Amino acid sequence: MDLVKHLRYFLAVAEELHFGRAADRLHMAQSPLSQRVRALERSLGVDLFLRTSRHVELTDAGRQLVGLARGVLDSVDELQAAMAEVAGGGTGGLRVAVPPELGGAAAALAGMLLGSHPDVEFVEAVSTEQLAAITARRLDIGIVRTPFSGARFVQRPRFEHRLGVLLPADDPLATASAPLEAIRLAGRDLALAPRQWAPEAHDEFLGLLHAVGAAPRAIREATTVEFAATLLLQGAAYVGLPPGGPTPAGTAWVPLAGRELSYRCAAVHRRGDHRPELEAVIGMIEQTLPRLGWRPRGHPQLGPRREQVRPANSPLA
Amino acid sequence: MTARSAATRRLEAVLGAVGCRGSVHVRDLDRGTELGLREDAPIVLASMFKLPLLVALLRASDGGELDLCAPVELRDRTSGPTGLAAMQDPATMSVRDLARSMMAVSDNAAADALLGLVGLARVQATLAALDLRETVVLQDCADLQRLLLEDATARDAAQLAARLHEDRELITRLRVRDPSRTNRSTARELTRLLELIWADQAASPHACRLARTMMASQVWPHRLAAGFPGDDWAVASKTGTLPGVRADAGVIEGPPGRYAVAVVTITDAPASSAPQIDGVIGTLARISVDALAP
Repeated sequence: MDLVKHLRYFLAVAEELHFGRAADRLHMAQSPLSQRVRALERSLGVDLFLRTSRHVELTDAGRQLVGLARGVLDSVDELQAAMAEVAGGGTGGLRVAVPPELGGAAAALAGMLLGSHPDVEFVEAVSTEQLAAITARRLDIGIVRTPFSGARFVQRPRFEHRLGVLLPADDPLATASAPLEAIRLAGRDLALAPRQWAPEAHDEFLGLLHAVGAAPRAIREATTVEFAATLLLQGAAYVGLPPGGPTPAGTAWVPLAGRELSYRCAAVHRRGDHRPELEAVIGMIEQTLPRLGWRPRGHPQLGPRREQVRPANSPLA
Repeated sequence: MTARSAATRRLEAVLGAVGCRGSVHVRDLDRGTELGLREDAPIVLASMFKLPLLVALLRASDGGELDLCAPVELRDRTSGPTGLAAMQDPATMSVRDLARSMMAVSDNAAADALLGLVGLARVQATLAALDLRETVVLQDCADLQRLLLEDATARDAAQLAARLHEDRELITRLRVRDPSRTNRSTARELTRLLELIWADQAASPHACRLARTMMASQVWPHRLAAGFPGDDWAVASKTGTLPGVRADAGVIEGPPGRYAVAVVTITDAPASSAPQIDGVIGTLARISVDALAP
């Protein structure tokens, strides 16, 4: 029996909990799909599904198999992709992605990298897309906003940069000479990059604002500093990385105080990718970003985010 | 657009801004008006099941079947982050003190000990007697923990948190988040239960007063209570928390009146810390109460 193929059939049914829909998804007829699932059950010696007249549900064994099957199929996909890359002679240059919010730093980073690595290919993509692309081997190194969930990534090196607040030039807070305490923004509308770009990082930032007593009244979305400037006309303040050049007319930029409220990111690659050219580019990023004002953060991180769970946040609290 | 539909649009927007979906229901206890968002959708109770358990316990006491002052020896107790569940040595406490710990700090050991005394059948009979047909209690805290750890193939809470971050889809597969497979209710039935407690109809007047006092002693100020700061408001509630599920149900009393509120938020983001969602529970309650207030 082709176990891998049968696991794919099983997973489709486990995800749909409906043989007909699973069969459609697999572009096959329902009866052969049912037969193959039964064959898998016989081969493993367990029932994977409870079939009643009205619905299909997973048995305990089936539930356990879901996680295991996904692991096996991820490994198979990775294996096939890796060999395909070797067979195809590789892609030549490494592909490095930068997120849109990096602004001017992206060009400066590219300039410095391309000096010594002229065949590096730069793409712009939001953090969530970069992680998917790294997993699918369409991207080698991503500059990804942290924290993020998901396994099998290495974060090295890790960096942070002070955030700033874009305000109308005549706003009383705009004349602050020292970094602005977040609490001064409490109760205002805040314009931020879209949550979808990096949901866990966005949620953590909002959570920190709440925790320090700076909860905004409402959140508006802005993908560029230029558009954010239009929201300022409606009383919002924009929080993001400092723009590379002068701020839009009629606006002023003030740094935001508080180390926890920095923009944090990491150069991310797939765990298990030890290619020497990757190491060389990572080394360059490690040297270059501090020259652009980015502060190194602690040790590399293998694997996903580690959280301290507080009693008030525990399950069943 | 009416004021009411404007309020429900705002509730949706506020939920969306923190990456959540969910249900809200508010009842003005004096004027009978209501407002809601998906108030009849099935929701998981999480620790809010301790509220119908409390009512069943008090009714059993009313009927002379249980003595609130009787000592209970806790053995093989359920673990958890608060109360007796977090403590190590043998303990004996009265029924009413266990109830107090269950409601004030969501003590899992106290809850399971009390459920052992009361029995699931009596809890279900109470819910039927109060005509709360969508509310079901099937599992105790030990069961819920077991289901969580099994689904995540984790040994303990720390490993559970790690697994949720490793596998982003895991949170969507948890049985304890599926109302059809666990303790469940609706936002509307939760506010109805609260209404009955505040009207001295859920059990004897003395018992209802005890329930209200215990609910007022809840320590977490970061959810419903966060929407009603200051000396003008009193809040008595019971929280519920599961991975990605944050809820609070209770009664708010202040200048415009008395309101029973139930808010349940659901997100697929695995972070256990989300003060912005905790705070939003207060915001949702405040928006709803303000919309109903004359």
